[in-house]
Amino acid sequence: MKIGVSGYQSIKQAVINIDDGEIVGITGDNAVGKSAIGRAIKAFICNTAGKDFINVDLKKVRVLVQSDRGLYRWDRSDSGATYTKNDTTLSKVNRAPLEDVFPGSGFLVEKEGSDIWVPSVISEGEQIFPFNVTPSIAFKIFSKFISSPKIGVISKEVRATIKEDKATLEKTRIRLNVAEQEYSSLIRRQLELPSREILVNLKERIVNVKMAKLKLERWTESIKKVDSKNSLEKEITEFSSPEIERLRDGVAAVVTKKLELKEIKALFQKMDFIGMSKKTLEKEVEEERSFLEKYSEKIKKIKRYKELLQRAVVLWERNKVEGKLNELGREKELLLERRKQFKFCPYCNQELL
Amino acid sequence: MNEKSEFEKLVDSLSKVEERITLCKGQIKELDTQIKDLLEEMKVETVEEAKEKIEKLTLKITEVEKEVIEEARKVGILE
Repeated sequence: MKIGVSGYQSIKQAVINIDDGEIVGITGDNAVGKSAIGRAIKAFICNTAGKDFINVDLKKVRVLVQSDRGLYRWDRSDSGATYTKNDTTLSKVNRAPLEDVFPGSGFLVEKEGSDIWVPSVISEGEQIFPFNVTPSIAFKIFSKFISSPKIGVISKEVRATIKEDKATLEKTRIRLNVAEQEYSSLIRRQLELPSREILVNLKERIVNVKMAKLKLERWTESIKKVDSKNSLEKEITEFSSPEIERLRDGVAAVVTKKLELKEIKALFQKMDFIGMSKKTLEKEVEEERSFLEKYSEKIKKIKRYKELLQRAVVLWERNKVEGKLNELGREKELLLERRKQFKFCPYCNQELL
Repeated sequence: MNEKSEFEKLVDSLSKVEERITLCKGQIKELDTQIKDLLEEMKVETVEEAKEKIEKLTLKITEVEKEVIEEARKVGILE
């Protein structure tokens, strides 16, 4: 990974090469710009700015991070900051996407105006030390805790170079020697440090305390639910006060009465309808009665005529039958007379009795 | 559209109260389950016991924290 800084405080242009799993220490004389590099990286990560953030002469700050994940660029001027990934500006981003730019990386950043270094950004899953330490102690801790041989190596080589400034480059070489001496001294002092077992045990205890604290926070938060429940129960009790109960009963009674009233109105409507129907029927009956009265005499006459007619028909039938009988009687007598003239049948010559 | 009468407004208000009560009862039931789970997790019987346990644990953790810091100072990793 390459980290480039330009235009930041005393740095005109600087490039740091960091290989995978490597921790790079930047050491040197006072005011040569080693803290400025750390601050520039921090500014890149957090989009922060100190009061003397931008160099008066240079005006513009640029931090470049080149890794196998891409080229990230951060430009900051008086008007604000922009982030660019592979020439594409990242919209709505106010700090570098850490997990993308520095996967699994951490930085020790010098605390402003002191000789204290604090781990400023450590990726997820890494141990974070909750106390301030000096640079040498920080290196000791990292050497003790990072068990992977790749990460455990402290580079004794200062790779920051300040270009276009030969005098500074010469100073950097001197700083390289100083760094080597510091490193040797550190290794010597490291032998006097507490054993790995003690530190591991301490680490375990810190982790346990943290876990217990998290659990306790969760419990404390959960137990507040009892208050929420009590508050809800209180609310229900308020809603169930005698006044509200009376009001509720009153409303129910009014609603019932309203329904009854509606039913009564419907009955009245029905009664009105029946009344109207009755009047209509009475009128019809009256009309029928007057009609009957008007025509009753005629009907009586018709009845009488009908009876007379029936009688006439009977008499006529009777006369008709009697005439026929008389006719038949006469014919009988005639036949009897004619019979007397014959002793034998003219057709079969048989003797007649 | 006719404006609602005072009585209709009262009926609406009472319906809202009923709805709120139903909602509260549901929430209380949910909270009861969560509290019961918490008590089981904390291995206590009552809320009072849980609160007491939390207080005791807070004190204990503060104590252990102090011990760890003291030890870190002793071994020289904390100034």
